[in-house]
Amino acid sequence: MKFISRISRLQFNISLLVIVFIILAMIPGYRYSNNLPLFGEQSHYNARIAGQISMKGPILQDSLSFGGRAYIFNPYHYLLAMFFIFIPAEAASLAIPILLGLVSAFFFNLLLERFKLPMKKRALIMLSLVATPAFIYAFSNSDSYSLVLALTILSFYFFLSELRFRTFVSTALCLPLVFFGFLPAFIPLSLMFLYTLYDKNRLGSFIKIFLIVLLVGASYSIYLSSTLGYSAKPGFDSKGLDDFFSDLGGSYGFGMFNFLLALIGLLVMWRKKSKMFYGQLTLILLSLLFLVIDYNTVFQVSFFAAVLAGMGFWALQDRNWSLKVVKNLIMVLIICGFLFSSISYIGRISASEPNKELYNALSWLKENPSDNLTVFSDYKNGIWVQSIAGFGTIADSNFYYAPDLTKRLDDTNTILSSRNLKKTYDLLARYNVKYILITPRMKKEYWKDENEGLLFLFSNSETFKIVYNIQDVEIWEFLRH
Amino acid sequence: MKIDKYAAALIAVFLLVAGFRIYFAFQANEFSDPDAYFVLRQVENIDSHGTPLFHDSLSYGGRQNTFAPFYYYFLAFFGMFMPPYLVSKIIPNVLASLMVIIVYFLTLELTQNRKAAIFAAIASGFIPVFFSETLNSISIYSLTIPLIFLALYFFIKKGNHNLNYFLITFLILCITHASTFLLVAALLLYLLLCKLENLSIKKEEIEVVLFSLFFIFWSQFLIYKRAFLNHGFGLVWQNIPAELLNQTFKDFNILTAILQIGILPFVFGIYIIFKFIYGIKNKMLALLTSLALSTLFLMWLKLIEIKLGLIFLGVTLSILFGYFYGLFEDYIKNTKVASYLHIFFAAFIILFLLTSFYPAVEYALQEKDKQLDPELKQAMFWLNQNTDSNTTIMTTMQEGNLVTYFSKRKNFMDDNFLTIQDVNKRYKETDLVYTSQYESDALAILNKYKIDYLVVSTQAMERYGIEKPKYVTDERCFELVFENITKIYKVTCKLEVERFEIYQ
Repeated sequence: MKFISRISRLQFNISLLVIVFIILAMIPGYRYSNNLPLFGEQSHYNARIAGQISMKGPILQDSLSFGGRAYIFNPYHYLLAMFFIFIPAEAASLAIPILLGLVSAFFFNLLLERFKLPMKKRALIMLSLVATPAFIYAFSNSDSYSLVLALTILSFYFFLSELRFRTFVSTALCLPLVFFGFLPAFIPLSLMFLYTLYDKNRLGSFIKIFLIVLLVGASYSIYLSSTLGYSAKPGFDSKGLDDFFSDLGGSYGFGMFNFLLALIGLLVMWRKKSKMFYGQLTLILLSLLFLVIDYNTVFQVSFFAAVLAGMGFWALQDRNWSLKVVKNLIMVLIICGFLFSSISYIGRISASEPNKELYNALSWLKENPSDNLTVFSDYKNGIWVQSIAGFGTIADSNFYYAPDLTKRLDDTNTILSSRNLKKTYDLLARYNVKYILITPRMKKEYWKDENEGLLFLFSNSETFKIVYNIQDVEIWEFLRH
Repeated sequence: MKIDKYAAALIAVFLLVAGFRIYFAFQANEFSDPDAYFVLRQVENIDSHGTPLFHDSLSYGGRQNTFAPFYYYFLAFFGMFMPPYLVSKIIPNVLASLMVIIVYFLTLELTQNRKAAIFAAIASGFIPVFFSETLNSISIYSLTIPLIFLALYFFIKKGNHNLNYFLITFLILCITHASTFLLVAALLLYLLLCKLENLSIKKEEIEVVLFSLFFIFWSQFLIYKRAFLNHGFGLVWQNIPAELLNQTFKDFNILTAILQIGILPFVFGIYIIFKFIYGIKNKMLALLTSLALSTLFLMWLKLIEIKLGLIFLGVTLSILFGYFYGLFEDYIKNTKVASYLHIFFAAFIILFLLTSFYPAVEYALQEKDKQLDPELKQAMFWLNQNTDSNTTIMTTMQEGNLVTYFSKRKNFMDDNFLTIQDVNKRYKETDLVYTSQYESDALAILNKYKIDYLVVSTQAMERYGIEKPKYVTDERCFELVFENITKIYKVTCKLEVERFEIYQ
């Protein structure tokens, strides 16, 4: 850590940005160099909607998802759409999250500076942060949460700043968060509130921000529920403990070493009991509550966890060790642990779907006319079918305010599992299905062999004709008669 | 050179235990646990190719193996000087016997009483559950358990050089078996107990425990990375099929514990734990109590197998029993019955013989009955000589390792469940093949997995309560190709599903 004290603030900031850029660019860089499309579902969904907005202006309906549904406003789409005007969609989808990641990291570092944390401590906190899978996922992927995180950090930063119009700027940055849901807006407000417990001068600003955000948020919620009703959630969407740890197979979340160090940081915080202790403790408890309520708050919570992990790391590094060999070994282990966890995660996510085979199949589908026609597939493929092939689907994984969610998911399961031709035929006809997409993952998940469910019915050549079969991805045409 | 009488006694105990073990191990020609043949395959592969079978082309028809390899390399080292059969019979028993020496030194460190230490050593040499689990099965616990207690010894013994030995032992443990987590849990609980009991904690102890915590996480994630990604926290339960899980992690039963640990260590060991909690302030007692409590806690949560838990408890309580004996002896010496101390000593010996030694002998004799059935072995050899190398054989899950070892053919299922995705499905399908009334159901499974031969052994007959599957009477589809008590049927039919045109 001696080299850290010798570098200047500017050098530190530049180094930080360079490291963040390298880490965030790994996944998109790998996929781009291997001619793979954007990874994940949300990146494709966001690109599709942003593309529509940039061509036709604001939209009210999404005709491809769930047979047509009301479009739920998302500021990230408009941000993307703005950039689509100047640069190609794919480049914008790669660049915007990384840019937001750099902004978030930079301002987060400035925030830590405001709390008078020394450079060494900040370095360790930032190291913990950039090694967190949730951080890597949010900013390597064109996901709305990249904007949520950036706005959270920026709104809190400006709330603490000495700018003359800080209340206005902070409000303007916090307001868009209400369009992402209750918790994304609540989290920065919680931070601001907890801060005002220690700095009463900010109380007035906080009240103003809180009231405006509450007013807009409440109005928006009332508008949504009065026009769209209640948003159902499928039962299978709940998350287990494994999902919170990337090393245990979670799509994003925390690394085990981040978690271990955060526990040590918590212990250190408990023992030291600084003047902000109760505020910190409240924040930790709230974070746990947020995670239970909404799994996606893991992105915002990862910043708090990085602070704890950094504190834990600092405590270990700063301790007066009796066994210097053990100290050095532990430091090496922690670095190796971070590296191993991050590299392993990056490697796994880089190879995630949509893979080349699926992308080729969907590109083939795109060549066919799609007017008001639907492609039937598992709901997990829905967004890719819509975005890459341009066809509508019966269901996809955007469950928020999805119309007839339960019915459509049940019908999807019925079609996949039923061996009753009439039942399946009627359902496919009702949803105006033209093609059926079958992937190797679906075969593993839904059927033991070719005599089950929909695979069994494919033997009826009057009703189903295979039109594409390359590298285990099949597309069947549904022949209505 | 004059040997101290206690040193002579210790050597005698070690030789007695080792000799006892090796004698009983050689009473059975084969091994008592089919898992032993999995170990043998790894050792033989290291001898011939330099590495264990990380990619196994025979198990489950081909799969990636995930395990810590040190034990196999350790045995393979001796394989350079002795035949694998002798290595497998002798080395694990010698390792398990070293437990008496480790327990002696641990108890000596605790009590400073050499007689008590000898007593504890004898008690640890005949813990029934440890005896039965490690006698004739090339069990990895023969190395793991002694190493864990050796690590504890180095941890508690004064001197920085001992902490270095602890680190080395710990590193070896991390690449030997995942039960090292229990050691780390015990050390963390030890720090907590010391804090609560106002016992001084050395800085070095905290540092070493911290290192252990980080290293165990890092090493286990490195070794079991694929398994963690596939199974998440479920890895703790080793991906054991749901129907089998209850048997493996069954509820802890006091009577079972007493029988498998021995009455004397159980009762007096528990007594010492209570004395520690309510009175005696002693760091080493804190360490042993931590180990016992963490074992009990993990057993209660069903996070460790019952047998492994009982082994840990058995050894820990044996050491504590030695402490009790020391206290007892000191107490008696200050009473009017001090002159009858030798009678009390004899009474302990008799009780020990009846409650620990005798059950250990019983378990040892039972191992001979549990060994591999020679008829089944003959059937496996027949398969090796009369089938081609691409053949897949179906047996019960427990016999899967015999297929890969003796027949050198692919099996349908064995008890190495890690990273196998469809393990529950396979388990049910194995049961269905042996119990189904309908030929079509069985053929559908046999064809799906391209199984060429079906083995009906004594174990299958006992397990499923059948003489043979009902449908094998159809000689068109099931040709009886081998018969002694074990029968082998060749699957000669393919089930054709008429993919007729489906009309409304």
